[in-house]
Amino acid sequence: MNITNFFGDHLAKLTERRPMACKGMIRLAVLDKYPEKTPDQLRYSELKEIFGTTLKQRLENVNTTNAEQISNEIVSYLVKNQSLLTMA
Amino acid sequence: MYQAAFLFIIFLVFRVITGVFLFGTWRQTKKNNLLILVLFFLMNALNLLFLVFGNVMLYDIFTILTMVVGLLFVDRTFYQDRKSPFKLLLALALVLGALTIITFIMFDLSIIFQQNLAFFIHNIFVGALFVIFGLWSFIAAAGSLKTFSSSDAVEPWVKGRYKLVKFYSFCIILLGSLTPFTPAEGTVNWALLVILIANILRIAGETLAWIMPKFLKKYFNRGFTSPDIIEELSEEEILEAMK
Repeated sequence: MNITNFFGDHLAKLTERRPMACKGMIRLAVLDKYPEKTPDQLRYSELKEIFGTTLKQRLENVNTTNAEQISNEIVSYLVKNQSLLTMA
Repeated sequence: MYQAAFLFIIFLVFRVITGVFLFGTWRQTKKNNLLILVLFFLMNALNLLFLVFGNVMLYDIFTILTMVVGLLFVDRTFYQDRKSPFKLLLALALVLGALTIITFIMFDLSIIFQQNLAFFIHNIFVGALFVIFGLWSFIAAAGSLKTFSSSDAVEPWVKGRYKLVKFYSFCIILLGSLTPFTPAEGTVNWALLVILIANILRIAGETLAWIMPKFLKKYFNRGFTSPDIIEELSEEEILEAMK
């Protein structure tokens, strides 16, 4: 399964931006933290850390309103769907 | 029971194959909850070996341990950073496990109770262990599937895997529920036959779920178009689009 697509689509709903750009943001946030890994190689704890740090920072850098809240919401979406990282 | 040794060996082979396959997946992904699942399948295989050799005491002990490992897998896969009944279920499994062993000793020594009664009570405790694990596994898979069932980003074969987990969990609940009704003296009754069928379906379900063959993936994915990134945007384009 493509983690970038799954969380990118959700980020698009939260930010009301194009899904393609949001998927790109996820990719960039992953590269910031783990440049040697692709999103699909990440463990739950690593992805959670990325959403809470580098993704949040990237959202703040592009002046997204409520970057903190969006970051929290995407983390809670990950917590709810964590099994996909094992099952997919 | 021991006349069914041939069948148990077939089951055992499937458990080992699934365990070894998952070990390979773990080596690639390093996702540690897969290692718990590997342990679950290999312990289950060992457990079947005890059944083949008719060592019920070791079978009981390994059933308890296998169920605990199964509960741990559900907890680590579905419930990290979430409210989880793991500790409660673990305590319940350990209490039931202790009662299973005590009643087996009573059955074995024929003390206090009549043998048939001791066997019946022993089977209630063993069955309850299966029901607890099966029920939690079913609830966890069903709950997760519900949250992303409408998402196009999740491939149908992944949803299919969750459905298979629900299916084999149901089989585990069924076989656990019927365990108290199995006969004590090596005879065959309706409960034993249903348990046998439920076990065959369970093992088939587990094997297909965790070693999903390509043809089954293709079958689940028929008519599905992947929404993969078809347009690679540069960092500047991404940042511009996010503003």
